[in-house]
Amino acid sequence: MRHSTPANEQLALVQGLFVQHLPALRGFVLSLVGGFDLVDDVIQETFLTVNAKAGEFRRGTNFRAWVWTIARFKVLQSLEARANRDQCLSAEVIDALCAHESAEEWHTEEQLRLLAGCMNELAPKARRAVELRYQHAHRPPEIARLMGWTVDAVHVALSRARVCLRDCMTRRMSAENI
Amino acid sequence: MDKERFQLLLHRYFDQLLTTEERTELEQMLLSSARAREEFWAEARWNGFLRLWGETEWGRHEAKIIPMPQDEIETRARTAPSQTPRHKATTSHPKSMRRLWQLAAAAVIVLACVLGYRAWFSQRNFPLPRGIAVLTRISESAWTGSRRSLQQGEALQPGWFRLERGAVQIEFSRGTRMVLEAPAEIKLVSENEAFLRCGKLSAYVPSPAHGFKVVTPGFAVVDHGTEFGCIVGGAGEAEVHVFSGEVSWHSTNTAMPVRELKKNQALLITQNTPQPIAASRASFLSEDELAKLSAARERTRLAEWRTSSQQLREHPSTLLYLDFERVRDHQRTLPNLAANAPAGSDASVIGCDPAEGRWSGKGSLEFKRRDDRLRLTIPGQFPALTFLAWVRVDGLANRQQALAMTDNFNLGETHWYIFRDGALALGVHTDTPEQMHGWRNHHSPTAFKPDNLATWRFVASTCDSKTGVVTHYLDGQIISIFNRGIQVPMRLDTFEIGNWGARRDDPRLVPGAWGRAEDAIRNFQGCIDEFAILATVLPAEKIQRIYREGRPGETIITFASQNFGTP
Repeated sequence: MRHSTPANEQLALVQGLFVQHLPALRGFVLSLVGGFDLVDDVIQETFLTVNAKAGEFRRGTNFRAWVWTIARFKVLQSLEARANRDQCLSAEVIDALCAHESAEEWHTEEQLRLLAGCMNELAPKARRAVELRYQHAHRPPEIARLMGWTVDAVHVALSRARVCLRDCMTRRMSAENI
Repeated sequence: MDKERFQLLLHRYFDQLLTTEERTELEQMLLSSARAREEFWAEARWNGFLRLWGETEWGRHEAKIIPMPQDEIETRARTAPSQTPRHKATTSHPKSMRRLWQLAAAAVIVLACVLGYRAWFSQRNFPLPRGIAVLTRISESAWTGSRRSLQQGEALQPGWFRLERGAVQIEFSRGTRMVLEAPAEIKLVSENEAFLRCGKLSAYVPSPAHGFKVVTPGFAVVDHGTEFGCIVGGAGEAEVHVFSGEVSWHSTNTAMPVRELKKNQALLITQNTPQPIAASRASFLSEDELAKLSAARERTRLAEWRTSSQQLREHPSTLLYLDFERVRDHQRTLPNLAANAPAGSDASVIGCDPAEGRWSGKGSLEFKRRDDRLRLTIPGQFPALTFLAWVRVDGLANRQQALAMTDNFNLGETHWYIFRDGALALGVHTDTPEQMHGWRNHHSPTAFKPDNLATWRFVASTCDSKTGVVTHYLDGQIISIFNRGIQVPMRLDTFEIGNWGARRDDPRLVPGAWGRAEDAIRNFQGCIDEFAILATVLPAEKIQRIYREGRPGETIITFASQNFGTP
C-alpha cells in the first residue's frame, strides 16, 4: 500500500495550482508566441518543468509568478528553435512585456457565457471568419481561401469583430454588474 | 506614438500577418512605451479569451454535429452474433465513467498519492548518469510492495540494494559477474567495487576487472584474477572462499597483516580474527544453477501469462489483440486474436525482426529500421478507446515514436506515440482533413528515461470522447490524466503499429507549411510483444491487473539508501 508523502503532497499542491491557472497560462503563452500552433508544446514543456521543480515551490509564495517565469523561458526557447521568426517577437521585447504584465484575472466562465451571446451579434460572415480563426485555428490566408476573400479583407473583418465583441462584452458585463 | 497605427500592428501580430518591417516597427513601439505594453496585454487578453472560447465551442460543436457510431457498431455486432455487442460494453459502464470523472476531479490527489512514483519528478535532461552494472538474472518472481522494483536487464546506478528473497546476477561494467543470494544488503559503489553489509555473494572476475573489491564492515577482499565467494552474517561472522586464482584479504584493523588466499583456501573471520577453513564451492549458488532457476521462473511466468491474457482477447470490447507468439516462424501476417476481431483486421508485418519477448520462449517483434511496421485496418468510429502494449523502448531518436498511428488526417483519427522527451502521448485529430494542426494531443510527464530504456514496460492510454479525458499509464500506474476536450468519436481505419504511414508525397506534409521534414519520421525503436486496442475505457484497476499478470518478473530488491547507513 502506498502512502502520501510530503513530496507527494507538494506535487499535488503544485499540480492543483497549475490546473487552476491553466486557462490564463495558455492565454499568456499565446500572447507571446503569436500563433496557436506552439501553445501546446510550450504548455507541455512548462508542465514538465513545474513537475520537476515542484519541490522548490514554497507554499504561500506567488505561484503565478513562478510558473509565468518558467513559461517565459519556455517561450523563448521555443521561439529560438523556430526557423521562420517573422511573426515572433524578439527576446528583448518579450522580456519587456513580461516585466509589464499584471496579475490581472484573465477571464471567467461567466464571461465565456457572455461572449457566446455576443457572437450572435456579429454578422454571419464576420462570425464565420472568427470561427475559422479561433475555433479552427486557421491563419488568415487559409480563411481567405475558404471564404473567397482577400487576406486583407479577412484581417479587417477579424479586427472589426474583435472590437465589436469587446464593446459588446463591456456593455453586457456592465448590465449584469460583473 | 500613432495609436491607430499601433492598434493596426497589434491586430496584424495576433493574426500572424506582420511583415519583417512591421514587426520591427511594433517592437520599437513596445520597447519605447509603457502605454503600448499595457495596450498589448489588453489586446492579448482578448485574443487569448477568444481562443479559449474557440476551443470550448469547437468541442461542443463537434459533439453536436457528429453522430455517435451507434449504427455501425450495431451492424458489426450483428455480424458477430455470438458476442456481446461491442458498443454495449462501451456504453454500459456508468460506474467506470463516474470513476473516471472522479479521477479527473481528483487528478492531483490521484497523481500524487496513488503514484508514489519518482518518475513524476520528470528528469527532462538526457542523459542521466549511466549505470555501473546490469541486473542480468533473477531467480524468482515476487512482489512485496517494495519501493523500487527492478527487472532483468535493468541498469543499476550506484547505491544500496536489499535482496529479500531468491538470487540475482549482477554484471559490473568492468566485467565482474556476481551472484548475490538473499537475504542480502549491498551497496554498489563503482564499476569495480561493492560494499556487502550482509548476505552471500560469489564473483567471477575476468582479466579486465582485476582489482575488483568487495568491502564488508570488518574487512575488504581485493581480487587478483579469480573466482571467490564471500559471506557476511548478521552476528559479525564472515567467510571468504577462493575457488580459483588469488585474492588478498585486508582487515579494517590496520595492525592486522594482509592475508593472501589462493585456490581452495578459505577464511572464517570471527571478531575480526581470521582462521583457515576448508573452501566450499557448494556453499554458493553457481551461475549455472542461477540460470536454471531463472529459466524455470520464466517458463512459469510465461505459462501464467498465456492463461491470464485470454481474458483480454475475449473481452467484448477488444478490437485488436496481438500476442506476437508465432513471429519466430517468420509469420508475415499476425492474426488479430480478439474474439470479436473485425473481419480483415490481421496485421501485415513489413520489415521487423523476430526477437525474444518478456520471457525466454515468448516472441516479440523488433522495430529498428526506418520502414519497419505492422499495417492493419480496423474500420469504425469509437466513442472511447484503450490502447495497451508491452514495449521495450531502445531509443528516442525521433520527435514522435509511433506506437499506433493512423495514416490520414480525417476527423477523429488517432495517434498513440512516445514523444522525444520520453512522454507517453495520445492525440486525436479534431479538424477537417485539410488542417494539419487540428490535433489535440496530451503528453504525460516523462515516462521513458535512460534508466528504463531497453527494459520491458507496460504502457496504456485511454481516451473518452464523452468526457474529453485522456489518461496515461506506465507499468499499471496512472502517470497523467487530463481533460483535453476531445469530443469527437475516434477512428483507426488503416493504421500502423510502430510507424506512421502518411504518404511521402502528401502535399500537406511539405516541410515549412507543416513542420520539419524529419518530424514525418516516426518509426518506433525497440520491441513489442503484446498489443491490444479496446473500444472502451478500461478502468484503472483493470489496467493495473493486466500489468501485474504480465510483468516480466521483478525481484524484491529495495532501493533504500537511508536505512542502511554508509560503509
